[in-house]
Amino acid sequence: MIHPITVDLERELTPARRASLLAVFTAAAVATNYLLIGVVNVKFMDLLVFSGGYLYGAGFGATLGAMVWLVYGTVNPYGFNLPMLAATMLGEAVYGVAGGVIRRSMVVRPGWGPDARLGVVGFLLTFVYDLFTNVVSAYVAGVPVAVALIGGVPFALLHEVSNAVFFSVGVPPLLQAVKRVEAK
Amino acid sequence: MISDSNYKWVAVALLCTTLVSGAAALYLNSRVNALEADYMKALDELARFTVTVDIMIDYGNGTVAWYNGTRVAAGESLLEATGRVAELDYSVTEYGAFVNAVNGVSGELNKYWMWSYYDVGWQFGPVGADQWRLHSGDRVAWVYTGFS
Repeated sequence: MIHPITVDLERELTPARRASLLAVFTAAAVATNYLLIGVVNVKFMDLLVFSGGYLYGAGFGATLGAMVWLVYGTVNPYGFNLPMLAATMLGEAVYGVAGGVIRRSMVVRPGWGPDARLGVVGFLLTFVYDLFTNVVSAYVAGVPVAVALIGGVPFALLHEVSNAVFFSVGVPPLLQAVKRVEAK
Repeated sequence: MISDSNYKWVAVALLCTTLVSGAAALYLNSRVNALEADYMKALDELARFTVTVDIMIDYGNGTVAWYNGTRVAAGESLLEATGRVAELDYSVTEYGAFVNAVNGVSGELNKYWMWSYYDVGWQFGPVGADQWRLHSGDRVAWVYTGFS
């Protein structure tokens, strides 16, 4: 069963609306990324990409994830690296695809109440993302994979725990907000 | 009554906590290993520039203190080495440094702080303590004693 909100939203998604929604979500993710540039591995981007996938489908979510990193990974104060850009685009797209897939099995109640299940989903998705990107960055930097994985544990944990909280607390209000905007 | 679905979510949540604690344990273990390796390396490097000696202080009242394995800089004098393990009061004379008090012990009539080194048996120090250079494994002694 697909979430009733998302069925309505997706049905009304014309190509123009789709493009503008993609732009709005991308802009929001990129803007919050720059806003939180000093806070390593704590970002709203994953939450927005997952929510995009949940609301408008896996294809939308995957495109959103890739778009966000295309901008943020190219114009980034920490530098540009093509293999890493490809890895992060691919990894971020997984959040969007997961959002599109999970909406078939999990109905989230829009509102202010947190949903612990989303925290678990956020944690596991981030774990996979960190594992994947850390392995790629190990190859790019030429360091042993085990060293990169173990050295990256504190950063990965920060990413995973913060995403668990953001997903749990952030997705239901975001669904509510989108539902209200779309209703107007 | 907890439903099957809730059990499933609890199980997945427990998997998350297992992943967190597993990752943290792995990280902490690797840090401990790295620090231990650093520590051993530092000790190794330190050993190249330092030597260990045994210093004995006999206060002449039955109290004898041993400072075995005292690490001192290579080529350090006995006076400097003793200063690492005890409070010294000394005066420098034309014959070298003369120790007046060790850890505040002094002042008894006809009693002096004499030093010896061990070579087959205890031998009186032939020079002032500031003139005697220590080498790895040396055994030296300070004795508060009188001459009769």
